[in-house]
Amino acid sequence: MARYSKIAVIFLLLCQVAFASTPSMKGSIDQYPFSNAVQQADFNYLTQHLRCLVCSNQTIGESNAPLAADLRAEVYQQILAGASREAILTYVVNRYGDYVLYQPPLKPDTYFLWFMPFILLVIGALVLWRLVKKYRGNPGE
Amino acid sequence: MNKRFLILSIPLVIFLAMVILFWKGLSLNPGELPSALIGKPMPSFKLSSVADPKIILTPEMFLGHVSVVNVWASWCMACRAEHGMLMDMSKQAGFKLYGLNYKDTQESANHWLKTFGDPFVTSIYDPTGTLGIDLGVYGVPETFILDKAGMIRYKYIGEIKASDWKNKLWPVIQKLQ
Repeated sequence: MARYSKIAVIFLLLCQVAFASTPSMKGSIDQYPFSNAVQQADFNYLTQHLRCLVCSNQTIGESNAPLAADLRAEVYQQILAGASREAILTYVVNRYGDYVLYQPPLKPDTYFLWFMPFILLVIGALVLWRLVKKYRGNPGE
Repeated sequence: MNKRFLILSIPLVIFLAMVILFWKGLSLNPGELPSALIGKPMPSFKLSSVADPKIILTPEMFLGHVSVVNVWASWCMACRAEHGMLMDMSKQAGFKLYGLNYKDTQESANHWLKTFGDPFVTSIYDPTGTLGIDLGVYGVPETFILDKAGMIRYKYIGEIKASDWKNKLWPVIQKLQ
């Protein structure tokens, strides 16, 4: 019994080492200190909403690709220079296209994408309504 | 009977629509993104040339002729594969071939050109990748075609193969003459 608890303690310690070391390692790669919380919030928002184009399923905040690092640095510099969230998003979209945005903008090109779920919902509701109406009339069926 | 036939054919119609959608969608290369810069002028820059740090280059260098701008780097494996194609392209008339040396060192860039040959009229030296970001570069090699007014007309992503040059890039250049 004592042996098992020793193993459990070692295991927990290992877990702690594994999980505790990850964030600090990440932070040492590049650090972006801000003097105010609003700028910090903007930075967090932007790096979590911009896609890294080299590794399409990561944000520029998550990715270690050189391009993501360049874009983080660019976002940081622009925030320090006083640019708004919208201005920085426009800056990046003008260069890389809408694809860098994790949330696609609402415009004629993307109407299909945005409205299709609602159209399907309406179609489904109509079909259901017709079926219910039909079978309610004939309880014997 | 007729109505029943119509209702029964709905799944088949949906199936065929999906076949067309997936046939088209799955054959697209997700690594190839449309450039946001098509139809826009070359972003402004003031950078030195790879060959000589004293020569300062600006977008005015692209005015008056069709330009092909190839983004390359000595650390880029695909650029090595593409280099022979660039050498062939440089022998053709009707456009000027420029290089944009991206996030490289002057020393390795010049060594590369000396070793494998220099197909470019001149290469812009962009060690920090600033112009690269302005051009929306995300994977080297990339190739831009500019018209005589210095407007970006076409972007090609990845290594240019002989067939791509013949079927995709060269027709664009001819149209811009």
